[in-house]
Amino acid sequence: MEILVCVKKVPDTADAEVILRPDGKGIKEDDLAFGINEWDNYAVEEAIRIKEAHGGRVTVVTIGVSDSEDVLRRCLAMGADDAIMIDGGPFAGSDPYGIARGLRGIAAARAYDLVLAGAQAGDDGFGMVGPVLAGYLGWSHATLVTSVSVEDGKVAVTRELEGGLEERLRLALPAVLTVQTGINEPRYVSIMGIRKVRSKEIPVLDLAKVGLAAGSVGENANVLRRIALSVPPAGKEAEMIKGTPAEIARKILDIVRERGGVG
Amino acid sequence: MAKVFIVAEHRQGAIRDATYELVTLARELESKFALEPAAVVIGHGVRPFAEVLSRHVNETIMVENEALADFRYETYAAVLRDIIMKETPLVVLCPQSAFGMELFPRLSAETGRPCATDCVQVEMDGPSLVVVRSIYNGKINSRLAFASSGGYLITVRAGSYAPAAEADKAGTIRDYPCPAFGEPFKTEFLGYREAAAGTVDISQAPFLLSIGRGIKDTENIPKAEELAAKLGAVLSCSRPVVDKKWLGKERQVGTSGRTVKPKLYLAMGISGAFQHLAGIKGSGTFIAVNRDPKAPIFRAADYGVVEDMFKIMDALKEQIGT
Amino acid sequence: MDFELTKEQKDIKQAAREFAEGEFDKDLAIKHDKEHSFPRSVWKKACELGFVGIHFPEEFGGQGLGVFENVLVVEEFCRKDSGFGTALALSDFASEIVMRHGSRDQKAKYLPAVSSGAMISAGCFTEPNHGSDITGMDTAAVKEKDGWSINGTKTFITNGTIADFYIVLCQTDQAAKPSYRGQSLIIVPKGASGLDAAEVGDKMGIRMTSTAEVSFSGVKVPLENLVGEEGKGFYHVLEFFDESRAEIASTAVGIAQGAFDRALEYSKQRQQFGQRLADFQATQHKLADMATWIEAARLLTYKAAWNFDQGRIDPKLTSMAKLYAGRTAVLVTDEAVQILGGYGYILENEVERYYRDAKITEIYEGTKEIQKNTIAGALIKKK
Repeated sequence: MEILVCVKKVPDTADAEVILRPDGKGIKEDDLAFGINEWDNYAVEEAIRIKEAHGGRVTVVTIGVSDSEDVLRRCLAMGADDAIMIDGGPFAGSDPYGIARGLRGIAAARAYDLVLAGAQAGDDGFGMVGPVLAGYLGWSHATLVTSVSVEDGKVAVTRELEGGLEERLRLALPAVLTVQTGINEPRYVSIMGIRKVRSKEIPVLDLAKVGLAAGSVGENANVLRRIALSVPPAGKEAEMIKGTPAEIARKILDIVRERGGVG
Repeated sequence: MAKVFIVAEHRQGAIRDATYELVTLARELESKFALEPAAVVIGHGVRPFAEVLSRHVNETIMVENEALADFRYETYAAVLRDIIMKETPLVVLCPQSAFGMELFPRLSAETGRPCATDCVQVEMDGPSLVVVRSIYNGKINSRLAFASSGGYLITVRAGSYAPAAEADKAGTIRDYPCPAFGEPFKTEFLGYREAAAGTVDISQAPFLLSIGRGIKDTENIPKAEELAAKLGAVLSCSRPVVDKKWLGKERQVGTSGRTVKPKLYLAMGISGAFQHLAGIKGSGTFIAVNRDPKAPIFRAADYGVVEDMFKIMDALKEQIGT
Repeated sequence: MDFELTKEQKDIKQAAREFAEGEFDKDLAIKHDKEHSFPRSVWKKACELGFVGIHFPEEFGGQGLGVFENVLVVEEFCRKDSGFGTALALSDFASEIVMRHGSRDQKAKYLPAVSSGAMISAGCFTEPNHGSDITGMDTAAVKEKDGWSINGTKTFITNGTIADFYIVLCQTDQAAKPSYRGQSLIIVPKGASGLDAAEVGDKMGIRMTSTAEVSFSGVKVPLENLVGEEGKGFYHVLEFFDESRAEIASTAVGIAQGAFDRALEYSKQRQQFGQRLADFQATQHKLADMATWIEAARLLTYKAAWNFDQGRIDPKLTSMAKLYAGRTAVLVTDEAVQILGGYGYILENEVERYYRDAKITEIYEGTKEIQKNTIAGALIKKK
């Protein structure tokens, strides 16, 4: 199996305060910790597991500038075989179409059987790059994948639906799969892994190398144009219960009892 | 008059609720921006669904074919491509769901029509469409326009619009011929699987104690179980707890887990991702405990407590004891 | 002059952080702290990932990296949790003596076992009557025709009750003048007849680490258990201290940083008199001091570790690092508790544990007074 995994470096905003820049066009990034997109990490792990079971090679790719290189090295240390950086400069501000066009050049030029990506990213969360890329390539795809098993020339997958339901599909290869969190337990990076990749060269490909013309990607080429960012309106706020933990617990129990809970 | 199409989502013999939320949005686009709503129902044996939708909109386009019995992006996208080409709707709406996420970005790549996913607000600005998306874990709203104005594919986040109430319009149903599927299929539907098999049915519980990422470690699960038992509550959780395999899928509340409507919902250490909140809509009293005063869950709860969940858990255990 | 970490060093730091964040659970730490128990399962995982023995040669199960990389790992570990961090950092304690002076067989037997999580090591230097002053040892080893016979008692031995082998500093020549020229290092395996270990009792801090009194009564081990040269034990230990002081300094830097992180976060959240604690100048100045001390301690520690990796022994520099980092840990954890106020005094809020775990860094591996003696001795070129 030749597998390409598309990864992205994103800010961790789950537990962090997100502050708009004064120009309203972006967020302040200084105080945010950046790392591999959570969904992508599961995709990398899944790719490595497929390789471990069936042989082949795993290549990770990102569209980024030099400060994204650590994310690629991290994937190599986990067990990916190769990494490719597509120079992100011209892609600055690209919408999912621009990103998918950049990745198409890589996926099409080499004989991959599978392209894996996260089902979405923790920053803008479009969830589009995977299926759009598959559409460009004319490959089969499945989104929100929760398990993968490789068969002869095909893959059987499950997709996560709503209400605790999954569906089972079989796809012809080559295919693009976008991976849902929880599909596996991603491994830690080991020191052995880091050492193995210490001298690994990560090629940086420019636009021409991925078959794109100047100006074909980036903010000015976008189909989806960001007009403005704003902080969502506060809306209804909960009535806050304050006090010591004991006082709070008493009030919670009052509410619980009022609604017919506890003896 | 420009048209707005609703792609009805159905599964296992029922129209999914999100479809009715799109009806509300389409009606809003009709009244505010004079778009003409129509529904599209694709599948096999879907006349009853078409009949239901015909009571909401003037026209329902029905594509009935055995090959459409189970949803696959391949066949559904082929049908929609054909419809879009011939009917030229300005806007096509679909729920942001496992169905919409699989179908619409692909359809966009195949038709060249721009797609914006996971929108929480959709409106017209003159002749052009403008959408609002919620990004960075719900902490920022992003307003988007489109470079072209030839037609849009939009998926809408569940819960962004209220579902349409029952209606009694006498809309028409138009049988639309199913286009021929040329090449051999690349995808094969094999069946459904209950991922949340288990003995607990959290959807029936009147009182749920729900834990999230804040529980931190599998070692702490027994503490939550003990408190749930003392409270007479059933233990449920948010997605991260299931992803880490600390509790079974059958206990997960949210769009990809169970939808619940308990009389009482006590959430601890849950930040309140919209997928989770969508799973408890219509619940009774909702109390949230979280350390982060800015957690989105406080915008959904009736009562909020900004405190370490373990302190509150311990205090609750003590208070019940006395 | 280059203060930038290499890419590999950054990756190591990041990997250590991710491991610590994933595995060092606060409640598990509190449990171990209360029970005075070593975090065995987490330690095993750290070994499997190559964090323990990172500075051992590759040939002997290590990662072939330096003391500097070890210091980076230890700092990240202690930053996330002072208890886990210290226990894991010390799990290979004194193995370096085998690494630097042991025979090929000794290295092959012990180093891969330590780095893979099969063995824990201990170094037995301190005695009830000889604390930081190890120039004279009451523990004696007598060379008999079939091996060494060891009698004596060691105290405050890190990993004393959990170690799989002990590297024991013994007086092997009672007549040597000065007496430290008659000291040798001998390996005693766990379970040796006449070997006994008992915890020293409830400790103030580092309660996830075993600290024991270890006694030897007629313990017999083969002659080949001698490590390094006979009569050179004292010198081997001094050389080891040069390395271990950098490691202890890094535990101190990590503990200080971890306490600072928590105090900073708290000061941004806590509202008093209508503003955040962080908006009071009194708090701001505390934070500024803390961050400055930590940065200075870190630089000194990094330099000491780097210098050792250059193959240079510089007791003055490593003593400065340990002295300053230890002081920093004690001062910063004190201020962190102060910033959290009453909440900082509660076990639950972690800085309380950091505060307790910090103090030992001014005591073990040579008290701060001994460090000053070493520094001063080098300055005035004593003897």
